[in-house]
Amino acid sequence: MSSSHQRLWLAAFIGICFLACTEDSLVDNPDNAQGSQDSVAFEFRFYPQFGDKPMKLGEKFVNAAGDTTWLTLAQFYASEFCFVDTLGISHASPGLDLVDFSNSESENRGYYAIHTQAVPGVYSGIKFTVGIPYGLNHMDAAEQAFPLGPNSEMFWSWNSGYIFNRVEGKADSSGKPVSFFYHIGGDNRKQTVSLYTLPDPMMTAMGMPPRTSKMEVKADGSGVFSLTVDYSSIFSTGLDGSGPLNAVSDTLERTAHGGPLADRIFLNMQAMFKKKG
Amino acid sequence: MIPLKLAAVSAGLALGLGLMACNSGSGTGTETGPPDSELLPKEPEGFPKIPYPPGNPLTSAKIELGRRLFYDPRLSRNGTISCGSCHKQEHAFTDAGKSFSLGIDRQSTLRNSPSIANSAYNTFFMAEGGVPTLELQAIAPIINPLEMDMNTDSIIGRIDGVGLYRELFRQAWGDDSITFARVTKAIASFERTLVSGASPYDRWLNGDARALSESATRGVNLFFGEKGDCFHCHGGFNFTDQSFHNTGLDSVTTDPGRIAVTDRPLDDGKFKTPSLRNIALTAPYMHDGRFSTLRETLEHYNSGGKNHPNQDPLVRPMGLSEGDIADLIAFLEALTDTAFTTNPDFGNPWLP
Repeated sequence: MSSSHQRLWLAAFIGICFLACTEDSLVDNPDNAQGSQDSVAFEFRFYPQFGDKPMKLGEKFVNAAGDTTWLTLAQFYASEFCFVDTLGISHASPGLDLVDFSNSESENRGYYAIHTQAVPGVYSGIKFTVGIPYGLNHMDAAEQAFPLGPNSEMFWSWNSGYIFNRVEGKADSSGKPVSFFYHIGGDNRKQTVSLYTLPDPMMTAMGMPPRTSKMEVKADGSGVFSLTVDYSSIFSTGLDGSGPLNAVSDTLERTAHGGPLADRIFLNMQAMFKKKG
Repeated sequence: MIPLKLAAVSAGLALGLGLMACNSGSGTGTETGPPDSELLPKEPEGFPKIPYPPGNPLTSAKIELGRRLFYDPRLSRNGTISCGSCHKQEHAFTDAGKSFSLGIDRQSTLRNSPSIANSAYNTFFMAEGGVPTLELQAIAPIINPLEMDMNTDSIIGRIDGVGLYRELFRQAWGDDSITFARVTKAIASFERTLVSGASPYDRWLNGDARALSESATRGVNLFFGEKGDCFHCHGGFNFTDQSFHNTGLDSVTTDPGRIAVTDRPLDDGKFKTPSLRNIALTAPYMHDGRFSTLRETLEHYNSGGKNHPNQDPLVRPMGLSEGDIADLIAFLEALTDTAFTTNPDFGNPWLP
């Protein structure tokens, strides 16, 4: 890809990203986009876990069905980052990355880092998307560069667009492990992760002290927001909506590219991201 | 035969003229100039003009480049598989009797190789219809680990050193910048020219009463009549309704088909209606190549299918006699366009 082409792509992406904070915040203000000259560096850290234990690919855990489980691949796109201030106003921040827990650097230090920009101050938290903006999801992939594009191993060549959250591994209950492949994508499975708390107007009206979560974007650029990514959540509920997901006993729960199992896993993934600590 | 004057392009190359293409390019793959219509293939009578997207106008230089790329095994990881390996011209760009093609390292692919004849007119690509353009479709086999398993960045390095390619890219875009987007645009351009519409049936349709046998003529009436009832799905100049149907191949889905794209339960087990042009050359049939012959396929439809919950109501016991089936086969065989399957403009340019 030529450099002029890459610049075009980046400009398009940033434009889309800055307008993306429109889903579930109380108030959005696109004029408050981060990344201006007042902005400083900020880092998001994604810590992979299985339940409350740190996780590395290949390490064995016990899933909700009671089976031994280990992941062989765990990747997802994170984009459309927004800082939510204490009034509930969202401030978009640049950043789109493929969080990859097989990356050796992130495996050694225990987390995957995404670097962005934000205006210093106190916020109630963040929100971001697991997935990518619609416009980028439907561009010609041949024109896109990593972390998008045909070499990302997240592009669905048979169903043009990207896998947003890709989880692969094995489950075993009897010495004969079975493989599972959960590829969650499609515009309707773009996940908004909201990690902020705003004052409850009822409590305020009752004269009770407002309870607002706080995070700081430090002026020196050393600010960090840490999240846990709990892969055990994927197995919490199976296709029947009651028992856990069971790749060992149910062949229909081993492969998801779309359809009811993808919908089920997408619901399970709503509990995947939490503020760390 | 479609008059495709690619010889002019090739001659220009051979003489090393370094021609500039009609459409200049900035290296971004975006073109604005008009297509060089006098060099482009002419559509058969009754066919719409070959469509192309705004970002990829059809030019003879790009078509020739695309033909080279289509038949070039350097586009696969180990240099053994080209697009043409599984889409053979003599079989109307399908894979010669194989239910599933063998891709790189002789791995089996997952679906029967479809014909790419007249794919310029398709609304959807792939059996479940998840791909909207020929340009995007061209990515799929190249990166598929079962087919060509190629890193698209590696393609650039591999063909950048080939002087012929630099010249072809220069002719197509006005500069010799090689990008993967240009690769897929060129392949798509070549594929758009693979138009087939010169079968005996077409000649019969255009007034040559002797082009069809008596049996095939009876087959026409069955095909387009309510008894055979084939035309509801296989209608139009390209014998496809560009839609998706569950044809009752299985009572329980063995391949999800369209539902994988739409998530709609009613799409479970549905597949894109293929064109029937050159169908006698494209055995075996169905998305999984389960039927070896046209007769087996017609007998399936005559049986009324296996009653999948989503089975199209048009698939029902038909009561066709042996004679009816023979007549339908005669008609289907009359959709073979030998001018298409022998057109040198569509053949492998790397062969001596």
